[in-house]
Formats: sequence, structure tokens, C-alpha cells
Amino acid sequence: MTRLNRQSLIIGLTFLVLAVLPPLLSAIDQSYYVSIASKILIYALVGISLDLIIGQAGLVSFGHAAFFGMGGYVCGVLSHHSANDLLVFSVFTGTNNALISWPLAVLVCMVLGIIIGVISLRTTGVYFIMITLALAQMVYFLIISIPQYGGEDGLSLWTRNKLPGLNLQDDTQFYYICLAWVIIYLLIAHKLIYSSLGLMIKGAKLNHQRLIALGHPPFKAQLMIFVLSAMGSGLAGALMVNLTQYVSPDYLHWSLSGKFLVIVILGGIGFLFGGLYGALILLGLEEILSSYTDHWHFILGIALVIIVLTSKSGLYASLVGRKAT
Amino acid sequence: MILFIEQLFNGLQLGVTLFLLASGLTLVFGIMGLINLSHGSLYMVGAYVTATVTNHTGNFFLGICAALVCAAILGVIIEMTIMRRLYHRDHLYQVLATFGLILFFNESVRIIWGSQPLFIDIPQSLNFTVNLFGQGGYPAYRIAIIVLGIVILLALFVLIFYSKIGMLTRAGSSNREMAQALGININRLYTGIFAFGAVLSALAGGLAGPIYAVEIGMGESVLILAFVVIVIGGIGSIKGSFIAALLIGIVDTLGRAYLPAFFKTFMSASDGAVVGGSLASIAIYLLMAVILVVKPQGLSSKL
Amino acid sequence: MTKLLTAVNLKKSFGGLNAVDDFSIELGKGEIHALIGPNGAGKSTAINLLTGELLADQGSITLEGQDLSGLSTWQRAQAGLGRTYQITSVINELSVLENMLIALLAQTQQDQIGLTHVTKITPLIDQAKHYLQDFDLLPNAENLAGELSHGEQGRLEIAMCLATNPKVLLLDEPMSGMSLIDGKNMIALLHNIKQSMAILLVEHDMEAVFQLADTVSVMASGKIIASDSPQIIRKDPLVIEAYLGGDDASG
Repeated sequence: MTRLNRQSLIIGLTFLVLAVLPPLLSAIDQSYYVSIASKILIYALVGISLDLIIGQAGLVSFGHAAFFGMGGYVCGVLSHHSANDLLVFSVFTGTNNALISWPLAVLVCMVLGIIIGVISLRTTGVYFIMITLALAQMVYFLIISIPQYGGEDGLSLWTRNKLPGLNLQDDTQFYYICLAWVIIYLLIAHKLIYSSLGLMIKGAKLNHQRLIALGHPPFKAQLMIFVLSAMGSGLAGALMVNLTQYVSPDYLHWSLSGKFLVIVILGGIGFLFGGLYGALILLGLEEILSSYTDHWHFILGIALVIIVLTSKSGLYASLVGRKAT
Repeated sequence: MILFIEQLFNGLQLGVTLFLLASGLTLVFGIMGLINLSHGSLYMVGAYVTATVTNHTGNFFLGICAALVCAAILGVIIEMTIMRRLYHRDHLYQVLATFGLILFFNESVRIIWGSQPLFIDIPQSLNFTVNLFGQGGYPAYRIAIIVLGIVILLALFVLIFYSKIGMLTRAGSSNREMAQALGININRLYTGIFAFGAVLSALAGGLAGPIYAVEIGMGESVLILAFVVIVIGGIGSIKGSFIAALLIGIVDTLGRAYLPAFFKTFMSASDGAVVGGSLASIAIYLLMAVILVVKPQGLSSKL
Repeated sequence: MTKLLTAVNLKKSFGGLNAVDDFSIELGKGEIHALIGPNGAGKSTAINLLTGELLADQGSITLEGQDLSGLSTWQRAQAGLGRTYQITSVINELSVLENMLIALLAQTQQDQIGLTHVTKITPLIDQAKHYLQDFDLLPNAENLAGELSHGEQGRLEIAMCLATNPKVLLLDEPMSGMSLIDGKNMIALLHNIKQSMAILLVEHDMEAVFQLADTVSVMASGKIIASDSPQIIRKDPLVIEAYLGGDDASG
């Protein structure tokens, strides 16, 4: 079987399983796992968005929790204001309507992405890693310094967002919303990668010097893909807050940025679709290990070191029979 | 005024702690090309060992010595088993492996010492206050840290620029093959440098023990500050790290001390506290952003 | 002959050592100006000073009256400076066609950069293939650039430069490591393109230099020690002593 066929087969099978998962789980009376599957899809969305900049542009962001958390906080804060009849910045009323909350969350992350991107993209390599980490940390401290929004305790929400015609409170419906977003984002990412813009971004990653000498600084194209990535992670954060009905500063924490990188590596760099498998492995591991021991980070830590030292491609990459780029 | 000088000294003391951490980090990066997130874990281990030995023996200096020995041994083991295999890998993989080590160390500490923070008393011999400029009292312990930091900076300079080891190190960083041709055992040299960085980090942790709580995760928050320091200072530069560390220490401390009060002068007390507090918590990151806009490669690009 | 690029008194020192000193040069349209000299004479450094990849300590560079001195590398490239590298710099991991597309998108077809699937931008593809045809690379269009032979890579690099419509082309040892036939092809190629631009040619292959160059400048220890027509340079005793006589690599 050729590589391409094998890849299409795996993608097709995966989506088939994802599509029938909730009825399948309810048939075997394990509906509890539907919300875990939603969580995996949400993390996959972050993994895909992060791989977009790592795999395509060669930009390793160690600060994607900032976008994830910010998306979550926008949603959470709007709901919080709506539930308590408080004005945001003494001007706006809050809202619980997903049609307003979600786009707003994505929009705020777009702006945050532009700010962080403009500063970080002045640098490359290790500098880029450290600066995205530091700027994300800045967002973290900024948000926990606002006592109205729970400080280090976060905010609990009464209910998930309302989406006309649907009941997001229902785990199955919420699952399909997450799945839809993953598919939409994958399609957008796919479109970008094979576009002329994507080609320039790839060129800049592979031979920066040549692009500069041709008179084409990659900054603008890199900023675009960085912001698109930030928006994807922000959307994931908004979904996460809806799933858990809780806005936690943990969503902004640097260690979450680290886990997002783990997802990308487990999935295989440059395989957008791999993010799904990366999230599945990481969260699956978490689910299984944490049921046996409180110290599951101990095992995860060792596993990570071993994975890095022994392999160079991710699981999805091995499935489709290719080495990660 | 007296409060200001006190805060300034607090800033210096934080700066020195950051420098001890950042110098190891920047050496390891500058020479071996390794970005080591788990550097902060050695800071934490240093603090825990210091706390344990001090609280058992009642002797803080014995505690510090134990921490340094532990860190040296750990440093050698980590370098020989893991780091050595990472030098030539992509930075992304270095980040992941050392992120794994953080999880490992944090959980190990939780298993050994539990989740409750530990506390260390300031050693008797330094538990007094000094009059600064004729007025008020400032803890002698904090002054000792500042003095120690400056001594270590000078020692590092002598070591790097005037000793044989320093010359070997510089030869090794600029030309690996030539260094090997000169009969330098690069592997042993790198192990030594890594362990040396680990010792400095553990020293910083041990010294910080009596001032801050000794707890899990203490290494990471300070590590990220150290990253800010080396980014501002220019990666690989000891001198840049020192200047940046003091800058960060002072800006952070003074910001936290004065910004809320400043905003209260023209805002309501509660609003002022929130805005000033928020701004204080991000002041150093804003500083970093500004410096990077002006000088993307940091303040200094030389060793 | 119209002067395109003028550099005056460029200087660059690395820690006290003058890599390039008092370097002045004029390049005219339709002219090939060869820059020769022993290894370490500062030829590549001089090119890097012209492109801005190294910043000159002093001196000025103008292109058709426009001062380039304060501009960054990509700005100078947009102003019309194209260059090749001593170690051929193409994007090895992409196909030959993709390399060509990137070169076209970089400047002349910038407005084509967008979200359209790249293979569906027909005029762009056609133009890229046209260039590849001209440079005898069309049969390799789908191959990775890294899999090309040395000579083919060199041709691709020049084709990519030309796709940006440069006014001045700076070539750093385009013949080095090439087979005899590839070298001959390159000479013919340079001869063909020189009409529409100025070319600075750094080259060790003396046969090629004397065959192609309208003017030859000789560099030694960072300085230009002689600059004249090939016939005169060939006989200059100073040049022979500094370079031609002692260097067996020269043909």
C-alpha cells in the first residue's frame, strides 16, 4: 500500500470512529467517556494549531497556554458578568451566547497573537522559545492579579454557553461541536499549507537566508500563521471552559504550554492530523496512570525523556510510515 | 527614603539569586548549545537538601555544603545519562526532555518530602541587622547573599578569562575539533561545566531557603525569571547576565513596592491596588519586550 | 555604459584585523566585473558588505543614485541586488519547481501570495516552468533541489536570482566544484544574461574570468591592488606576484 493511501485510510478510519463514538459509548453504557473524548478533541485542536507553526514555520512556541487560557477567560468572564449582572469594564454587559462569546474569544486571541507575535518574531531559535514562554507568563500573572476574576482560584460557571438550536449542556451535542471545530480548523490549516503563502512560510523555515537574499523577509507571513495558530488555541480554550464549566489559571500555566508541545511531538511534527493522536496518547496516559497513582507525572516525566532519547518521529508519523520532518 | 534603600537592597538580593541561576543556564547554552528547563529543579533540590540537613543538624552551612555536593553528583549523573545525548538535537527536543525532567523532579520531591512547604531559619551568626547609611536595620543575611553574589561573579570572570579550565572551555565552545586535537577531553569538560552550573543553581536555592518558602515548583517560577535575564543579557554572556539579573531584580522589587501606591495617588484605593499590582507583576516582561525591540540579541553578545 | 552600483571606501574589520579596507568599485550595466585574489583576500566579505549581510564600518553604497548603506539585506535585494553564495543556497528540501515559485513570489509576483492552492495559480506555474526551461532544468522540475547535481543547483540558484529582476548580480564562485561541461555552460549562461544587468563575479577559475570579464579587480589582504581590463591585469607584475604567479590553482 502506498504511503498516501495508507494515510488517507487512517484519516478516514479515524473520522469514522470519531463520528460514531458517542452512540457507541452509550451502547456499551460508558457515556462518561464522551466528555473525555471532547477533552481530547479540544487538546487536539491546540495540538493542530501549534503544529501549524512548528511544523510549517519552524517556530517553537512555548507560550500557547496564553492563548488557550485567554480564550477560556474571555468566555468565562463574559458568562460570569452575565450571570451576576455586572458590566465589563463598566461598559459592556456580559453574555452567555456562544455566537458572541466564541468569536470574541477568538478575536481577543487574535489581538494577543499579534502582540506576542510582533515581539517574538523579531527573534528566532532559542530566543523565540524563551520569549514566548516569558510573554505567556506575563499573561498568566496579569490575569491572576485581577481579584474580580478569582485570582489564583479561577472562576466557576453556572452553565455552558447557549448556542441557538442546540443544547451544549448535553455532552454528546457538545462533543459534535468540538469535532466540527477540529475538522473546520484542519481544513483551514490544510488550505494554508498548500497555498502560495504556505509555500513562502515553508521556504523561510528551510532556508531563511535565501528568502532574505531574494528580498522577501518572512515576518509578515510568519505573523499570519502565528496569529492563525493563536486563534485556534484560543477557540480550544473557549471550548475547554465550556466543557469543564470552570476557568482556571492552570489553563494559562506554562506547564500546560509544555504539555501542548508534548502533544505535537507525540503526534509527529509536521503532521497536522497527528495532533489528534498526540492528544489521545497524552490524555489517555493521564487518564490511565492517574487512576493508579497520584504521582503519574513521575512516570510521564521519565516517559518523555525516553521518548525524546529513543525516537525521532511521532506515533501518527509511524502509523503512516513516515519520518517526521 | 530608608524604605527605598531597603527595597533597593531587596532588589539586589533577588538579582544576585537570579544571577546564580542564570549564569549556569547561560554557560550551558553558550558552550554546549543546550536549553535546560530542568535547571530550576536543581535550585529546588538545593533548597530541599539545605532545609533537611539544616533542620536536622542545626547548621545552615552544613546544609548548604550538603546541597552543593548533592547538586554536583546529580549534575554529573544527569549530564552523562541524558544531556550529553541532547547537545546535537533540535532545541524543541531539548525543551521536551528537560520538561520531562521537571515533572520527574517535582514528583520525586513530592514523594520524598511531601506537598507541605519547608522552612529554614536564618543562621544564628547572620541573624542580626545592619545599619544602612546610619539609619534603620537591614538583615545581615541578605547583605551576605549580595556580597557572595559579587564574589562569585568575580570568581567566574577569573575562571573564564584567566584560568586554564576557562581557556579550555572557550576553546571547546569555539572549536570542538581543535580542542580535541589539543588533547582536551571534551566530554569530561562538558560534564564539569554542567555540574558546575548545577552547583550554582543549588547554591541559589539553598540561599533562598531562609527567605522564601521551600516548596515544589519554586524552581520553575525563578527559572522563567532567569530566562528573562539571559534573554535580556544576551544568551551566553556572563557579564550581560549579571547586569540583566540586577536590572530584573531591582525593577521587579521596586515595582511591587511602589506601583500600587503610585496608582492609589490618583485612583481609588482598591482600583489602584489592582492596576498597580497588575502592572508590577508584568513590569519585567514589559522591560524585556522593550529591550528586545531595541536590541533583539540582548544587551551583550560577548562572553 | 551606465553605472549601476557604486561602492566607495568600504571598510570592515574583525577585532583589529582589516578584512576589507578602502574597497571601492563601480559596476556598469552590461558589464561583468571580476573580483579575483587569493583565499582570505576578503572577496566574500566584500560581497557581504554590498548585500548588507555584514554591516560596513564605514563607506557608502549607492544603486542608481539610491543610498543603500542604511538598508537591511532584504531591502537591498528589493532595490535590485541579487546574489549567489559560495556554497550554493537553494532550498534543498523543496522541489525545483517550488524553489522557482518561491523566487518568483519573493518580489515580482508578490501579489500572488495568498490562500489559493499554489498549483492552481496557472500564470505563476507557467512562468516558473519558463525559467526552468531557459535554464535547462525543466526535466528536473519535480525533483528535490537537494538531489540535483552541483552544476544544476548552481543554475537553479542563478535562475532564482534572475526571477527577482535584479539590476546587479553578485556571484560568489559560481564555477567552483563544477565539472568542465557545467563550467562551460555557466560561462555561456553568464554571457547571455549580462546585457540587462551588472555582474560582479568572484571566481578562482582564471580561464573563465579572462573569457568573461570586461574589468578585473585584484584583491589582496582586504584591498584592491589593481583594477583594469583583463589584458592589462594579465601582465601586471604586481598582480602576478600577489596572486597569479604564486597560485597553482589558477589556470
